[in-house]
Amino acid sequence: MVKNLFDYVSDGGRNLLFGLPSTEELVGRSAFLPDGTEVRFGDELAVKCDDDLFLIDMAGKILLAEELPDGSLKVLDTEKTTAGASALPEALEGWESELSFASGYILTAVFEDGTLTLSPSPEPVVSSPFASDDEPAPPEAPEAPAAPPVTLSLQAVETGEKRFLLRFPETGETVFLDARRFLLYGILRGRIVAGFVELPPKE
Amino acid sequence: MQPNQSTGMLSVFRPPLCFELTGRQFTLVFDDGYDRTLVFKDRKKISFGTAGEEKEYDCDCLKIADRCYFVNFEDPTLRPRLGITLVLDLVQDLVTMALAHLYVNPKFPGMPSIDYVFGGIMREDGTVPAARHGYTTDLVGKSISWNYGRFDIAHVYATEHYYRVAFTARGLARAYRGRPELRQSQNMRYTAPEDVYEDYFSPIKIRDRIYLVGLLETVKAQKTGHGNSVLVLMNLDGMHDVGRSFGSNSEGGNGNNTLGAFGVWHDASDVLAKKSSLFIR
Repeated sequence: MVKNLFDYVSDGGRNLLFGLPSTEELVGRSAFLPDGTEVRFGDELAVKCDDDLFLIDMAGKILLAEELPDGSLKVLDTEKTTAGASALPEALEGWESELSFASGYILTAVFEDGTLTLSPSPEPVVSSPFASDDEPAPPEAPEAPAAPPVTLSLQAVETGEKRFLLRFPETGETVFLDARRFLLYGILRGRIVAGFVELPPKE
Repeated sequence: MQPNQSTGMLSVFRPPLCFELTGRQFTLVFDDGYDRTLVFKDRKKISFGTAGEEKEYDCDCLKIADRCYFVNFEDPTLRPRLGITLVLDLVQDLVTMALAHLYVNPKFPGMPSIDYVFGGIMREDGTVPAARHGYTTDLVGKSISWNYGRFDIAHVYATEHYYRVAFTARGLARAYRGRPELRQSQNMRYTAPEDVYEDYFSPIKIRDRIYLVGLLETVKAQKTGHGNSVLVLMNLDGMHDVGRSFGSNSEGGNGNNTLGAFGVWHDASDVLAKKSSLFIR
């Protein structure tokens, strides 16, 4: 049974994950973690989550770096930052939405009681191009049985206005959610993945 | 939660701006016979132009793949309008420039047009590659539905010169959510068998799986008086694109907004089977 985010959102690697290129903006720069540890950035995998925000894979440790107005970097170890989070931030608790990290594969997502429950969305993603509100398109026949729902333990902290670090402690996977723009960024299994969150398409 | 309402319709999913070229300078050797210098002066300012004619611009730079950049800028004081977009491919040392025009057509001032100029980027040793980015038929017969956050549209790459549009049921549902007036919009339909929106298309291959695609709204401009030149740089490995929409809107406003979207391959066989309603071929 799938119990990690990467396998679930990629449907066991069968789906084409949305991707973004690694940024080179941090190369040659250094900063200090809150515990005083100095980090120097080289060719690590790093994804920009905002114009001034980076998620970095530093030898398996996922860091979040924010560039401050004075040009310095404020760097957080995402594991330590989320470690004490026993409850979801108020904005996330009870939130039901949809998310997608892979082309054509949309998942229903429920944030509740320190967990994230995912299941394939019953809504067809690709349908007849003639579809309209008057003539709803029939759902396409699924090629394989839909994956059963999965519930993942989740630690989440709000790192800025409507910005959340989501960490799955059982697997160490980390995702950044920018709820202002409904975008998701992560570095999973050594690759950059991007995605989006949306409300269910119902009026 | 609701998305940030301050972002444009097509800009919700635009990735963050790329600043990694800051401080770098390039000599771009174009096939129109003019060499131009491009300097990334800081995160938002560039200098661009032929020797002695360089101008400073505010720019948006977006990165779609390893060492592949979409650089968009315009002198906002210039009339007729000229939107300049550069695709810098530092893997192959190649550049493609798109020059979008508005208010040059005497009958339809709000109709955009676009020209492409290909070129090479001068290497440190002074050489320039002989190869160029080029027009392609790779996308013909295919379609991708692009999700811009609050708006979905399927671009149907009908032929090497014409695209068509389609909408998925999911995309229509998303568009109608909170904007029920769109149900009455002809732009959101084209559902009848005899009804197809078709317009000019320029597909350019940058490298494997990366394409620059230009879509013009000239037919719309003839009907409504305004239209856009949409230019997107797509990476099919990540089914993601970045780009910009340059044109005018129904309120007379001028737009030149960078954008981004997530894509899904779309079955457009029905749309492809429709007879062209406008273009003889």
